[in-house]
Amino acid sequence: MPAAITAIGAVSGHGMGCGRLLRAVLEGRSAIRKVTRFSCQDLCSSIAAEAPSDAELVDAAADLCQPPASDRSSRLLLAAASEALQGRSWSASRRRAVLVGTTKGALELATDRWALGEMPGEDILGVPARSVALATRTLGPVLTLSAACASSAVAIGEALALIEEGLCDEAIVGGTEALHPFVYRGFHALKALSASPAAPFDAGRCGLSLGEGAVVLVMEALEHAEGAQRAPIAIVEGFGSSTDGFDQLAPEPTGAGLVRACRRAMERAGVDATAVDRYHAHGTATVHNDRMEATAHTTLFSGRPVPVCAVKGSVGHTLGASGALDVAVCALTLQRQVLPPVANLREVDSLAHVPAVIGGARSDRGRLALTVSAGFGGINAALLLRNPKAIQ
Amino acid sequence: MTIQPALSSFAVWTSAGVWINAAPTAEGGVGSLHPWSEGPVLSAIHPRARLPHALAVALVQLAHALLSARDTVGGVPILNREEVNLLLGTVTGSIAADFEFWSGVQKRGAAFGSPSTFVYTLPTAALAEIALALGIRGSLATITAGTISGLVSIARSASRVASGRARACICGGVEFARVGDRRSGALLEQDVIALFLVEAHPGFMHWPTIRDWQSGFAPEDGASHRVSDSLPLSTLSALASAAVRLGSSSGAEDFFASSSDGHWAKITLASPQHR
Repeated sequence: MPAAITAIGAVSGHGMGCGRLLRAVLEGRSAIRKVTRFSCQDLCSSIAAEAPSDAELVDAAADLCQPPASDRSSRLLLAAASEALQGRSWSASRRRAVLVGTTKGALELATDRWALGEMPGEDILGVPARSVALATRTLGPVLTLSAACASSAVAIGEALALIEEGLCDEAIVGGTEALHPFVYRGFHALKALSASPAAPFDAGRCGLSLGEGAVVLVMEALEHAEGAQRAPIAIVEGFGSSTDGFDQLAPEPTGAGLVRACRRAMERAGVDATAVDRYHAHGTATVHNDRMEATAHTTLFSGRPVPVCAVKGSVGHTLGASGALDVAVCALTLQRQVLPPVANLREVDSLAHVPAVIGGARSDRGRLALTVSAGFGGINAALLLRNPKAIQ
Repeated sequence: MTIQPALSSFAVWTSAGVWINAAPTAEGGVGSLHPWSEGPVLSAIHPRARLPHALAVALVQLAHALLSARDTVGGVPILNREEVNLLLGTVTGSIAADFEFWSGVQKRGAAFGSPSTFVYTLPTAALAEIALALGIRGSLATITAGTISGLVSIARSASRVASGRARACICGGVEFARVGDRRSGALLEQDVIALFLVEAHPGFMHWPTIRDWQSGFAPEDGASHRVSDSLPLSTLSALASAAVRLGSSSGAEDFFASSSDGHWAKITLASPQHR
């Protein structure tokens, strides 16, 4: 059973709101610039896509009438929630769920305690989801999903499952990840950071750029949305996930795991790959990822040139939030019948050859889109989205 | 047709010992996992292992024992591991590895964090080691809902099996916050790994069935649901003990658990013949 996305809120390196995100992505602009929030001295890179300041985030979430969050991930999530939940009043309901994907949650609460020689007593991963649940008086399941860089895609998949099972009428679902020196130093240690802004699928790329942000979607059972006369932005038709079982860091080079996840999503939706009109790539701009995705694309579509979009050159890699961010961009551009370009992509790598959207945005009347995520640990996730005009 | 989810195997590892498809007889006190001298040798079950974290080693050993116990049961086909999902509940997540990485950076400098430790600062990294070692290719994630995360993971796994979205799920709870003799978090005092295998009931086995599952959030109204602030070890040990009882006798038992921050979950376990 599909579910409708009826509202979207976003905070990214481009600032507050879906409008700014969408404009920047369609113009191919990048928010990746010098890091201001902490020192990158002695590290292999000093750039990232930073979201607005804590003060701006708190201001943006003021209408949720909650005390200011104690950590940046929750502040990002609440600011995105404020946009997505605008205009709705929320009575207490057991038929509503909150699901949040994140890899590190409120990590700073732990590192702050350790710096004082103390031990954290909080549920570090679950803090952001609880903050949204309290703001929306949610009494249904309040769950935090972690699946590396596929975390928020998996959260959306779980929301779809709760709606399909009839356990919920609606789910407030999303992802959040703050840029933390802990994580930045970790990616430095892995030698995964690029000194120049990430350029997915580009012949000259040399690694990823980190970003931070949050996305919140309101997903509803179709009849629930129709009953309330809320028009869907996009329909989530199917979800699939898989594990490579190949390596902790590198993806399985043939992309077999990612293809399996995509096929599981399409099988749930009852469609095959010939029906898919566009592919929103994970596109981290690492050699391993991009080449794996190019191979997976060829296998999945049998060489058919299904257009490839990717946002990490524009907003950086937001880790646990990236799946939801991809879905937000996919849903908004699918609705507007436009394909966003891959920011920073000049010349496609001949060994990661994909029919990427280069240069500027272009119009597209496609109705069905796949968005994919591929994380450390070989975790893959795929979501199938449909333009609602296609089922009317 | 609705598929009836069943609990086909379990394996519990606490500070007091390891139990495979047997009722835990002691909960143990505050502390780390009991040394498991007769446990499987990592190099024999995971030849490709490279510098795995202590939690990953323990998870691989226990998951191997769980699947071995399941696959030696007569009368049912061996599980196709490509179809097995991994969904473990955790409230402590990767905090032990987080603390190790953070401590290393404090000691050696910002540019000298350990890459092999950083890998395990993802809550799913230790689970991914199970997939690497044991050939599991289904979905993989952790789920967090306060201190009852383990019970919630079983509820969601039952739901996946009942709806046909998964053929089988390894679920349960994993809480591991110790770095040597030091603890990295104050939320839980006891380390525990409790793995349960939920799969479609074939009809003819004496596996207890999961008849009902619910979860929710009641931060203000908790008292009406709350039996007590439930700790992962006691909740999951009690579930394992009930699985043993219901595998050999008729009846049904409800398990209700809640966390002090408002999460709650309820599971009804029943003997296969119970109506």
